[in-house]
Amino acid sequence: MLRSRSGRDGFETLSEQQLNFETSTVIGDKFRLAAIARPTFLDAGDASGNTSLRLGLAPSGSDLGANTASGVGAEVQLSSENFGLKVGTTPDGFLVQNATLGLRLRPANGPFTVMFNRDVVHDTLLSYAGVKDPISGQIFGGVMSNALSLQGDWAGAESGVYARAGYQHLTGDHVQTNRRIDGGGGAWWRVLKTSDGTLTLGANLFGMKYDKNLRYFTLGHGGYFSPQRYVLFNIPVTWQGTYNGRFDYSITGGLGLQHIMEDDAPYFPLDASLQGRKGPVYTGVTQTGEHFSLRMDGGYRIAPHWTLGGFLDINNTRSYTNQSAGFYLRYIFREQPLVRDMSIPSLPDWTGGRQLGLP
Amino acid sequence: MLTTRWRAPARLLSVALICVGSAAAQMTCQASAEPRSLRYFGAAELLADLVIECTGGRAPAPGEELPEYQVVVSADVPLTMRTLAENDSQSIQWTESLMLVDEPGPNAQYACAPSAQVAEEEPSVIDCGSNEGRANVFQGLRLQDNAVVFRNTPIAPPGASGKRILRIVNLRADVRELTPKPKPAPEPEDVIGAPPDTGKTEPAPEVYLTVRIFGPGGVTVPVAGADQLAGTLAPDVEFELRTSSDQAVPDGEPALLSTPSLTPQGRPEDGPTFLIKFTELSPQVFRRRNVGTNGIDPTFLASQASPGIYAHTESGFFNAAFPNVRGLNKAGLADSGTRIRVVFDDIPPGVRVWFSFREVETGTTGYDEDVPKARLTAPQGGVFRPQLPEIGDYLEVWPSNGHAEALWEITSSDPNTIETLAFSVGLTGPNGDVEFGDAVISGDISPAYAAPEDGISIAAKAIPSFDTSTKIVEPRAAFSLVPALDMSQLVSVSAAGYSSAPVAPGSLVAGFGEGLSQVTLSAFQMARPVLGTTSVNVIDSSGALRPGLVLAVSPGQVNFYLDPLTRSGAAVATVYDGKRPVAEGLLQVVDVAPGLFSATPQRAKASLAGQLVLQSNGHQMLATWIMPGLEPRESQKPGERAYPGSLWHRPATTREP
Repeated sequence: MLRSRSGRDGFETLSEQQLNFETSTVIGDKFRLAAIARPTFLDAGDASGNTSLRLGLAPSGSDLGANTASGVGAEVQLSSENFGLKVGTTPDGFLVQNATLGLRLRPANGPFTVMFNRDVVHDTLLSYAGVKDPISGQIFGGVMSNALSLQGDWAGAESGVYARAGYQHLTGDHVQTNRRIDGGGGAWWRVLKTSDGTLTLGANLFGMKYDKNLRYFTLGHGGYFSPQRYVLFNIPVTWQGTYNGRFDYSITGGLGLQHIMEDDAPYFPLDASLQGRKGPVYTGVTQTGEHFSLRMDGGYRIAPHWTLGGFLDINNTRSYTNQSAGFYLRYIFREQPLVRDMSIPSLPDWTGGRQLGLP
Repeated sequence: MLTTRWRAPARLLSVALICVGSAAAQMTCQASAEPRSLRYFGAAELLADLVIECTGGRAPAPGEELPEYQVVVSADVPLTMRTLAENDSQSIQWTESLMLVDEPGPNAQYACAPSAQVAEEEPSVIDCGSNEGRANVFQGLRLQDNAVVFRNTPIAPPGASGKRILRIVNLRADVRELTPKPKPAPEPEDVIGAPPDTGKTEPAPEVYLTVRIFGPGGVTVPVAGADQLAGTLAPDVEFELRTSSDQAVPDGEPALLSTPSLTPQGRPEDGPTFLIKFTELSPQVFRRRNVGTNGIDPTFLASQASPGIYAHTESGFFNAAFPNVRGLNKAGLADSGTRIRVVFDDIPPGVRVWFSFREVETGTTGYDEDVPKARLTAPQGGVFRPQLPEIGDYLEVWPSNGHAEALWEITSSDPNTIETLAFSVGLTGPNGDVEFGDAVISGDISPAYAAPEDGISIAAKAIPSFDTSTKIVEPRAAFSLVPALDMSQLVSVSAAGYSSAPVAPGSLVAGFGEGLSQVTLSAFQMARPVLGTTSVNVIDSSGALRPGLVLAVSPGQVNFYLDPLTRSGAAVATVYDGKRPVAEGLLQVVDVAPGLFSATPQRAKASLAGQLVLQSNGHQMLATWIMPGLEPRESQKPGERAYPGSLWHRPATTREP
């Protein structure tokens, strides 16, 4: 998997290369048990001397040296249709390493899903892996989001509605603690159905609010997007189809508007002395602009034991352009029919999602 | 060899021992500071030295590489010590803040510098990368507006029984944002319901420093008392506009009201003058440049390189022996003593403004001590170079577009007393070419450089660096030139018979008017420039000032002796009460005007007369002679004699002649 995030080199930019070595098995036809190893390499680029951004205590324009991190993370998942659990760690070679935890419950197979997810914030090298302050030598960052959410889905064959609400508690090493609340909802309608697939049209509204703006890189910041107001409205259009019975694919494009408002942020939110009485602040930003997203997924059953798939995702959700792409190759010990209609549906992963191409 | 049975406990024990050893090896420190007095106006006030005493840690063996520490110092206000050098490849600024290790004496200070800049002939600068442990002076890098770091500093932990002293000097701060704002006058309705004044005053604003020390691997070194009070703000200076006789000038009124005819060519101290006066509100406001400077040679620089000794100067720790490596030769140096500035604007065209070169004795235009406390300097600092030679004790500051400013540098001050400095301002102008107008004055303890909008940060400016926005004198009326003063008409006639005939140079003149004096006085001996508080100035037809010698005054009359050098033609005579003109009028002067003169103010009671002597050069002079029957004045003492031109007085209440 390759992922890149736009921004200023050395700080906001992030290039992520990750391999997922995954093996899974089914327990009693009810549960899916998976073990994943994730070698990960992160590169934030070289900080240009022209940027006004600062890292840790270092003055702007300082030579920050190499800005990379690498390591291997691990995760174990146990999941069923109405339950999911994950336990893992962030990559062990990162300066800040944390445990991850996830739990999904859908009581009584009903419309509501409760989910808790403790995971690292992947925005930047600082939030993802942690960095070393060039001046003091202190390590900071590695922001963990502890997210609790409730989602309701009411879907039929022709249309559906959904709503969600969430709360996050965010912590990191020498990073100010933050909170986030979010919520949203939407609806979709199937507007076309053919033998090759279906076309759905939706309307989606999402909003979130963080207590503090901690998206910078001085000591006490977490380097993650944390606006004080974020509202997104978009119209997603999805075509989901099958080609030749062996290739499942999905294309979703969306256009809309997003509004971002960030408060001023002190340079050193955790250190009153470094901040001073009227110390420097990062000036807040308010902007409203277009939003776009495009995601393509596909999975091809190339042989009874082999599946090949991939995805491409581009969007400007949040304040930056995010691009990711990946592919996978799976070997399934149990022989599978090549035509989807003859397959027995598989169990989802811990989040409740299924990868295309899998039965 | 340990058996398997004992392996686990042994491992636990070794871990415990390592932990204990690590704890013992940890260096710990204690910070302290002696707070200093910080002036309200200070944009670069010298803060207290931050002293950090460290103990513990593992003392390195001889030849062993020293561990490197990062010492970060921050303040709750902007730190404005000067930037001395910049790294070209990075935006790193070397400041004048220094960290001294183990209180080295002036001759044992070795500054750390990059090896490429270390010259063999500079024994006071050594390569700190050599890790020989000899470097004991380290330069602070500016991290941000309010913080510096002494980076990668090799420090040998002193061990359990030793002590290492780190002294951080030359930290300066901009404290203006802490200056208490004057409270607005309460509205009348507020006063009625206002709580009673409890007499409590607001606590003085304070400035704090915080130190953090990071050891190898980013490990924080514990510092007790990491937050230290580094200074307390104190009121700075009171400014006053005073008359030349040191009388207070009410707010809104000019110190001087004059007419073009009262602003003559000539010596500024003879014309209209007034005083500007600065008084310390706390004893350490005025500071000279450094210990080597004084009023005789204010530019001489001497070392102030003894750690812990506060010299009461604008300079801080300053070692004159440091070479110019990363600007170390300027570290701690103040470019001048405290500076005082006054600015005149809207000066009427034609008026020339003169300032006393140094402070004057209040109430006079003269100096009162041999060693000056202040001296006039150029607006950008340095020696003041006037366009014209000095006249008396004055130098002219040439107005440009109605603007003139004077800047004095403190060259001597006493830290233990409240001091007052007064400077005299004199006005002159070409006769008849002076226009009317109202000049305003403002002043401050003050910038030699423009405000920050000129693109120069305070840190890059000279020390002491002040900002024009910090006014200690809000613009107010200074002096006015008006067509005519609100004073009585002076009718001057020859005292020889009180006729309206022209008067002659060297003759007695009688001037009649109203309110000329509060009292009646006669000069018992010599005629005087000032009798009581009354004086007479005559501007002759050449524009020259010709002060008269006053013989007698009363509320309605003044008799004075006209300067023999007065040029013939129309002249203007002005009677002053102190420096306040009270009457003015025209006087016709001719070369020769013979007559007999009475010296007393009232002709009917004249008891003394003068004799006109016509000299060979055509000028005339007055000789006194005593009329028959006159007696010496009552206070005449035995043996006292009358001098030519002196007055003898016979009280009007006694006998008539």
